[in-house]
Amino acid sequence: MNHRLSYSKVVTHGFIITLGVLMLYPVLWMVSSSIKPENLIFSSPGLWPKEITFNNYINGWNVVRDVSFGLFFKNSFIISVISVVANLITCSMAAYAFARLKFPLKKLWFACMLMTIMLPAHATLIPQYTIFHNLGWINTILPLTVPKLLATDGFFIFLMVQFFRGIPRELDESAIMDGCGVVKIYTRIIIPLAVPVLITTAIFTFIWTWDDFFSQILYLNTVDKFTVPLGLRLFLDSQGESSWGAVFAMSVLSMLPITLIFFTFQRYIVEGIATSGIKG
Amino acid sequence: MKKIFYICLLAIMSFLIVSGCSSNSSGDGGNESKDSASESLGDSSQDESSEQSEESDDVIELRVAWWGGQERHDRTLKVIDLFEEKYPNIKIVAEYSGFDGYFDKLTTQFAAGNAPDVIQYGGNLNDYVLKDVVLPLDEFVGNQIDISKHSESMLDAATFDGKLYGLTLGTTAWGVLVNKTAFDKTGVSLPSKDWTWEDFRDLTPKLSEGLDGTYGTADFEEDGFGVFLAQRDKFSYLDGEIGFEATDVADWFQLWKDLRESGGAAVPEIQVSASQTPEQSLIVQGDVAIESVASNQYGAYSNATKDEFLLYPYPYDSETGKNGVSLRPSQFFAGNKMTEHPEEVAKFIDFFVNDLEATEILGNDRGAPVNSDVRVNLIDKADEIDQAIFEYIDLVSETSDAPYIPNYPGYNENTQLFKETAEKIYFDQSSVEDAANNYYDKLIDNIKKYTEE
Repeated sequence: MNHRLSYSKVVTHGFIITLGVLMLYPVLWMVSSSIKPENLIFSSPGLWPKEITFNNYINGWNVVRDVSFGLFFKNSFIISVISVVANLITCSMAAYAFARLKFPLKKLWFACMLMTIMLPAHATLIPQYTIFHNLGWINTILPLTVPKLLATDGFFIFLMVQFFRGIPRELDESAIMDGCGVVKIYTRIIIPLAVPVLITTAIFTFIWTWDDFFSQILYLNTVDKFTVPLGLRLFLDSQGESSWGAVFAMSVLSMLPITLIFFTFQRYIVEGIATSGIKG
Repeated sequence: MKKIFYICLLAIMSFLIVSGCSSNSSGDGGNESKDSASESLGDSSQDESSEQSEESDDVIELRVAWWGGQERHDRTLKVIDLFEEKYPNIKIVAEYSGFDGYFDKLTTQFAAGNAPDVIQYGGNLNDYVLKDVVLPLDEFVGNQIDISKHSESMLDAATFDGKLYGLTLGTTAWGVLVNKTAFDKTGVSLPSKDWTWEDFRDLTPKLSEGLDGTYGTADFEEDGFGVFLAQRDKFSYLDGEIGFEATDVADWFQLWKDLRESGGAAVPEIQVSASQTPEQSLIVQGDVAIESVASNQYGAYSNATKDEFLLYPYPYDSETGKNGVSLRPSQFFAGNKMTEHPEEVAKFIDFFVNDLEATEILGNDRGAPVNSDVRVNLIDKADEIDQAIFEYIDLVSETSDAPYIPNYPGYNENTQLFKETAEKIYFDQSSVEDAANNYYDKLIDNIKKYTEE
């Protein structure tokens, strides 16, 4: 019995490992292509590079004159970090209001908030662009960060509301007995208990902002404001010559922060999803 | 009861939001463009008066947008430096990116009245002309813009309803890429540059025989068909008219069927896996030794492999003695109709295509230059690959009288139709004749559908 059990374990693990390697193949291929000379990337597409060169990294890092890829990393980091902090503070405040406070037309506002999730982004694109243009915010990071200060990510508010509703009201009541007001309940009771959902929000905000392409290309015009996703596309021209080597090399670098964050906080992501709103 | 109330409320809200959005967008867009129009009027009159009083000390800012790869960005930026040196009162703001998202962004910018002054377009220039956002250049021709050395067909390509809307940044022409390394391996001697389809039929099976796992040639597909028609003094579609018969289609597909049967052309299984990207094309992957390409891609194909490629003209039609290749525009520079400085826009575009120093820097990146003087100047200075391309373009512009034929209306659908027809024949689901007739009928229907709209 014991023997059979371990046998089936071996089979399961073997299966999972094979599947894992299969799924990793594109990533491994990208890493290996990033150290191949440009003309060997597609003519000898095997995983093991015949020749190794780091030219792709050097060439990719100095994208265009005056601007290095480091600047794109810096810009991306600034936007991502502001977005994370802003989302954490404002979304949790909005969610707290929806979950705990009583105010007129609360259900209506909640429905409106949910509708912003369902509204396709393309419908609001041009009016939004026009507003930011009239404010003179085009080609700055303001259109990408200021809205986050106003709790505009309905998805995260919804996520947090569901989580806050799961926190027992008795805790609030005992805090009121101890003399806490609305604000103190938020800072002393709700926030400390909501760490998993806050971490989930932080991670997803970071990843989504880091990988976001469309709104960044829309609002950023000149290369000195560009972010990593825009920088990567600078190498690609579907109709002409693309520097694939540089693309792969810089893609490897741009994956590092996200991979690092994912592995460090992996435990919390699972915990956050399991304990917050997303369940059957 | 309560539930129903909320559902109704939700429905009303969503209706309000949606309708609010749509009216918002059109309202804002309209106001905005009017605003900027009146602004621009006011600004330009102010600018002029201040220029006169301060003797053009004012620095004018022009926004220039293009897409491309790293190489193009570097070269274009250098030309911009050069331009700023020559015209110190004009400052260029470069807004460049990759191709992804370029036109989405542009459309949004137009809607908000915030588009750049000089814009690079591709074959879709006519779409934007229809939207009435492109600056007609006629009044600048002869003043700021010199088109005397430009080839007529390239000017035609940017002319709509009798007005010139842009200047072509580069020309390309269909050609045949030949893998010299593969020829050397088999001992088949390279054909002469005025080869015919008969030579082509003789030589491709020999290549397939001599090479292990490599076929003589890839199917030339729809692009080849266009050239094939021009060789017979026919054309696909021009000015509301279809210029060929169903028998031409059948002849073309029969030619390729014969080539496959003789072993010269790639088997269908390989042909259908063909990719448009140079790096993943059949010839670079070593599946075939001959493929049809656009001349400006010669460099991209050559750089993706260690084999030596040569650029050949299409095989001639031995009856008419024509090779049917015509010049095609790659990209255009055109002005924004709303620009505050139309004259400077014209100056910049002219500088970009006509200045010898500028074009030397640009080289072949957007295709061979349209200005014949510029091309002559470049041939001596270019590297081997560019030289071959320029010589080829010169050859085409001198020898071929084939006109530039724009794409079919409903381009995507018709391209798909051609592909499906070819595949039906590849896999013996239909005889060549039936498939050709079917293609011809459906093509006429499609074109009707798109032109009547």
